[in-house]
Amino acid sequence: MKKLSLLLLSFASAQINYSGEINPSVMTRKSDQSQINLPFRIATLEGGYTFGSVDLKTSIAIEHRWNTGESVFNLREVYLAYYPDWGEVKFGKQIHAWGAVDGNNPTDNLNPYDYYYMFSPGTKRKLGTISFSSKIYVGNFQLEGIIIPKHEINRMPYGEKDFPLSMPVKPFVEYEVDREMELGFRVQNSSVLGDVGFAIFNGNDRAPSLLTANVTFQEGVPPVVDQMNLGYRSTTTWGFDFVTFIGDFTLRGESSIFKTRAPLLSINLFKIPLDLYELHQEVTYAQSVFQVEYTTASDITISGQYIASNVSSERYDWFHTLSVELVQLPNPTFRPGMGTPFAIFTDKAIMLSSSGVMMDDRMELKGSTVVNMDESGYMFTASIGYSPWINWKIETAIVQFKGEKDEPENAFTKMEDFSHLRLGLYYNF
Amino acid sequence: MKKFIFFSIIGSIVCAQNGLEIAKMVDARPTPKDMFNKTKMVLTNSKGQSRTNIMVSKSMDGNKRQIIWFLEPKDDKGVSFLKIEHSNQDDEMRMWLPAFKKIRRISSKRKGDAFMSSDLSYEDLSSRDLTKNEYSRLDDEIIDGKDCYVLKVIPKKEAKSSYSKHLSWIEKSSLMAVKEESYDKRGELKKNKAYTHKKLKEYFVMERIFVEDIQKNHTTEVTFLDLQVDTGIDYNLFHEKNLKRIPKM
Repeated sequence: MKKLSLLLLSFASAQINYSGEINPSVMTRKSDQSQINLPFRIATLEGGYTFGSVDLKTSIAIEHRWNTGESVFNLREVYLAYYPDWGEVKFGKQIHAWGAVDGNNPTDNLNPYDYYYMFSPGTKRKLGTISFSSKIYVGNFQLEGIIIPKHEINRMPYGEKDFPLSMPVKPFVEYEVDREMELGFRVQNSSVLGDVGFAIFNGNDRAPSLLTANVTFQEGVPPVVDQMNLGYRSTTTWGFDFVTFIGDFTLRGESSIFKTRAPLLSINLFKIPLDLYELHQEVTYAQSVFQVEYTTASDITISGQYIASNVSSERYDWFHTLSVELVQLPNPTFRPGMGTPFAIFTDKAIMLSSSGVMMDDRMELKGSTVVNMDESGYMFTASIGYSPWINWKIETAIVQFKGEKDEPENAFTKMEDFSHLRLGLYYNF
Repeated sequence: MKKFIFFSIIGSIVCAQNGLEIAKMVDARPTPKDMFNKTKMVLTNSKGQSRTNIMVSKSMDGNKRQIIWFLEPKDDKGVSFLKIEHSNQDDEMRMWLPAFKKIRRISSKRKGDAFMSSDLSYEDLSSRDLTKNEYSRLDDEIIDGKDCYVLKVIPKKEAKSSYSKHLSWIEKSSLMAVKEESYDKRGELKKNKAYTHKKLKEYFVMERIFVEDIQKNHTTEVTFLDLQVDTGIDYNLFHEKNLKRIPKM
């Protein structure tokens, strides 16, 4: 009876929290003022139910397209969080965030990305995954472990004529991953000088890559690739991040080494095609981001980032699956299957950004530019947000890509047609 | 009779406290072990347009440890801020940003920066170290019927203050500040601050702060609502893990 009373009392003292945003917006191409018809989140709702030391948290969104009028309900997160004295434990579909820098995080590979939102900040660009995580605080240390039982992949805009980097058709992925379960571990130390973190993650690429091919060899003619078969490489990352302060400047940095390899393939031994050739590949690459930020006396924040990605070693071996005989076939161009999304644009870039508020936070000005240091090209964005009444905001933004006509394969050149104006209305509740 | 008056005058001259002694009295004033309140902050610009922020705050050690959870405006809801002051090293400040799911460590050095775009700076919200300021007593004054000490406070170089001096009116009976004028590095009047306090349990606590930035022609009114003291706040509350959960009022 006493236990029941205590339970009822706990329920009675439980607390419901919610917040959300309604955000209709429209994007218009700069070149011909045509509307860009990509899905966007027209409404989001974050809900929480607090019951003692336990929270139930949810995040839902409604994704909408103007041209078709269709809306899709999306349960982005739903998880239980328990907060004992020593830390926190969470289980469910959730989004994690590792790393010290803003926006481009080589150490943050726990969740796949939603490339429809790759220019959106924070968790908006991520997809929730079912996972178990636990964080323990011991003195100045934090230790965090994450188990992701099922591999999830990036959401890519396939067949979207309005997104220049879109592939026309979603590729068929032949092979399942070698090991579904993914594991991550991070330790952070805080001191008067700042924070330092180390992270390890063992998982699978979020984007598919070439693993085998069906090839016809004929004497006297080059081999003909009849079919390319995709799968997900196994990747392990070792990362490091820090934040420290020098005078009025804040320095943030993050770096990760990725070791990716072709997985062990599950091929039926009795049904191996005669023309099947496997690509054994082992690639080590690194991504780093270094950020400096400064806030002026008038509360304008200026930050600069240097983003770099490089391949330190690559090894490719093609061999015939049945005979295990090595053959000579062209090696694919390496594309990272994990890491900061910006790596699809360039291997080296500098990003400068600035933001400030005026008129008692009624007006917000933001601007950023990304300069491609590897080839030509840049991206420029600027936005003005005005809040005529509390909880309402009107925002207008311009996004400009500039490439080089002589470099048609340059991502910035391909994105030029995506240069657009955006107008959005926000209501927060 | 003349001897009595003479010795009274001499006695009062000898026994009158100087600025530092008054500052020490103010510093030694009984303060709550902890405080829990809802804070309403109204910012008003030169055109009379206002904007309201509402937050929940828990603090202890005379505000040396403080967590603030922002409730309004709604686009700030869920953002929270942890401050831990250290006497012999830089303060620690962290913010929880729900949109990024990150606890962001931020620089504590810019004490002159405005808190949430208000006329109160982080320095205004921090406690003053007696050893890092020079105190001198000016003539007592009566403000709104309250008999007050008047102190001139000049921050020393090690205080790294954004002000060159303050004039503070301290009510004698409560040892609470009633009014303060703060001057910028050029010696020009920057801010006028007016304080209202009340008695809660055996303590005098701040109930309202009104700040006028003379140079920007802008005001901030901070009202402390639902004030509770000595509620037994756990020392371990002031940890970043508690930034993610808004407490129940």
